[in-house]
Amino acid sequence: MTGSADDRIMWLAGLLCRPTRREAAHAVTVRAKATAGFDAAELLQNAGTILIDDRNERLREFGNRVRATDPVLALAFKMIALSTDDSAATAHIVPGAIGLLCSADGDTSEALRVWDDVARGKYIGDDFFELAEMYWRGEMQFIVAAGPGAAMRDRYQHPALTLLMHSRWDAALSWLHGASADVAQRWRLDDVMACSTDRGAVASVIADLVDDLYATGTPSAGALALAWQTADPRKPHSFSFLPQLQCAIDNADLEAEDDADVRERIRIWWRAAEGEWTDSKFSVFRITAIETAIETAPGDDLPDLVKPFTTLTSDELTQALGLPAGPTLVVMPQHSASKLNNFHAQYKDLVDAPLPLIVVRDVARIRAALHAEFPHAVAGVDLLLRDLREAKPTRLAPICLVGSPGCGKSRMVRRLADFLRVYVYRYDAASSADSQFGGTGKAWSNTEPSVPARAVAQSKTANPTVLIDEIDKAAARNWNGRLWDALLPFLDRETAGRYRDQSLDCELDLSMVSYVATANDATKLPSPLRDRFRIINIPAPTLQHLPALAAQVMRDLAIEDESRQADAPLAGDELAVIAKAWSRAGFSMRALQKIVGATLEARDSHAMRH
Amino acid sequence: MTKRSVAARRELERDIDSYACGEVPSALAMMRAARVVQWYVMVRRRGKESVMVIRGEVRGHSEIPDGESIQTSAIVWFDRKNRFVRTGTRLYVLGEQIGREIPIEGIDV
Repeated sequence: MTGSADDRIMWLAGLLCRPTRREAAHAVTVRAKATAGFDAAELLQNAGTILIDDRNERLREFGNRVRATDPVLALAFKMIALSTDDSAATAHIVPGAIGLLCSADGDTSEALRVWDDVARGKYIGDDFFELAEMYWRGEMQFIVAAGPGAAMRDRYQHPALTLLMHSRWDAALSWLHGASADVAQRWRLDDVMACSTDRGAVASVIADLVDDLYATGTPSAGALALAWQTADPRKPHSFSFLPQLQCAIDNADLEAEDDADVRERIRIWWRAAEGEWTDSKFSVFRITAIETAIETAPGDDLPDLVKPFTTLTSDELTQALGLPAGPTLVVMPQHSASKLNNFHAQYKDLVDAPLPLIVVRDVARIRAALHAEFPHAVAGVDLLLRDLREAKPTRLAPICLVGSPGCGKSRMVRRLADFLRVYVYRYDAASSADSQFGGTGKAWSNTEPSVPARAVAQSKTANPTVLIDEIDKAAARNWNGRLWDALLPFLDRETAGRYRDQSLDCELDLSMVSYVATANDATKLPSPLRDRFRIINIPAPTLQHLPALAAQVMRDLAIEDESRQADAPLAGDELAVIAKAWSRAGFSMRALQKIVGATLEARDSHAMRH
Repeated sequence: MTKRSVAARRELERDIDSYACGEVPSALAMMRAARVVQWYVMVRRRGKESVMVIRGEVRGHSEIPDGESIQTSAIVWFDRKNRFVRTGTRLYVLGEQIGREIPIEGIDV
């Protein structure tokens, strides 16, 4: 037996903070080797299998063997043996561990609650340790970031660095106003706020405040003075304080992630000092927010492609997406293809070509982003993402999103595809009155392959998504065939894997293509189709979701129209007016877009002009 | 690290701490420091990071004759009232800034 009971519990707490299962497993083997009575040679011999796979049986066996001598080590073995899809075993083991750790280390038991949530299906992934690291730490950081100014000041250690993290000039100003309340003279601060809308006047008032703060002569007042120094991208020489700000960053002992964030932002300030934005009307905070958002926005982290997406070869695409050894699939094997005619020129490249499969990356982030964007359909989002597995090729079981007009169904599919970086081929069912979805025969003078084959050819990937919009509006008559029947072979994975396209006359492997349909009323669909689709009801948003959705609409407007980027958030009275108009319009997202747009226009027309 | 560089580093830290509290170099230090006139600011890239330097004509430098054009090393403190700059190794007193920074309104140059 090694160490006291407390030591062992502390060791277990430390183990749970390991970032991955692999590292944790390594720590356990090291511990087990050091524990008396354990066959180190056998353990080492089996170390490879412990760290890779086939884990459950062998690890439990090890756990049972040390249970009498070291129960904590036995528990550690069992915890490493847990797999994320075994909720029964998790429910049995995790509460015990929480109970054990509660007394010793509260924070670590919080990490274990993430394990619990994984078992209940709240988070998806293959590694408890990785998930705990991601969510537990994420939550802790969220709490710190959302806390009062003092907490932020401590985190970045210097008010100027906290200020650097703001995305808007007015937000930065009001934060700094609050942070300076104890140090600066009240009337000086009031002066600043009184003329805060006039950037020309505020600069000279702030210069006086900076003089005052430096005159105080204390390090804390000096730090605030540095934070107060204003910079205007139109006047690069106003950035002359950057050397001391850089010095503050170099001297601060920040967490690696915070340090990277701060440095990324100050690089943009340096670019402003070089005169890159002399004709910009935005503040340096706004410019920084825009620049960092462009670099880190989900879906936008692709390299700058010189050619359009659809004209890349599969190799180029693989390289561009950073998938050097990613999975591939031959959609159009040579042995089952006949000679292609002139209509099929673009399909010649597909013959025997291993097309890349787009792999799921960071489901947790996608889930969180979709939850934030569709607060009224959290359950729908979870169902939509149920099939996605981290680091596995993207494929959704056929899904039909059902909801009232304008509740955000098509947008949800588009946003999901953006996040997953898969290609979406949109097919409008309302204008389909035949079976052209499945392609037209090769014998016809003008022939066209099936829609999924076209999606593969255009995306040059093996797993695009086909969006069948308004599927309930497709013609129900069966004159030249109909969409509903043409869809059936594609929705069954077995049949889709060997689909003979009548235009290409080739047996295609379309098993990895995803199909998502939208409908207002699923009861109109024939029963074979209803059986094959997973029906997900998307509820219409309600008034409680208005603030989040209106903010989302404003962000969309800002993306479309640069002049909207400086708009202040909607005020309470504006939201009240929007709420009234929106309830009359029946809670549709399209109506909300119009109402928010109109509100902003009304605000513009009543704005004070100088 | 030599004794001399350790001493220079300590002096730099002390100077930065005092500037951060709002102090300025002593009259004696200002008098002994090299002076740069007709100066202008430049931002230079050093790998991923950037640094600010001053270019101008030097006066009273211990190693460079008066009137030579110089470029300072990276500035670690730039006085907000353009009175002096501190680089890693020495203090420079700033004289007159080069004319192109000052707009001449109403005169057709």
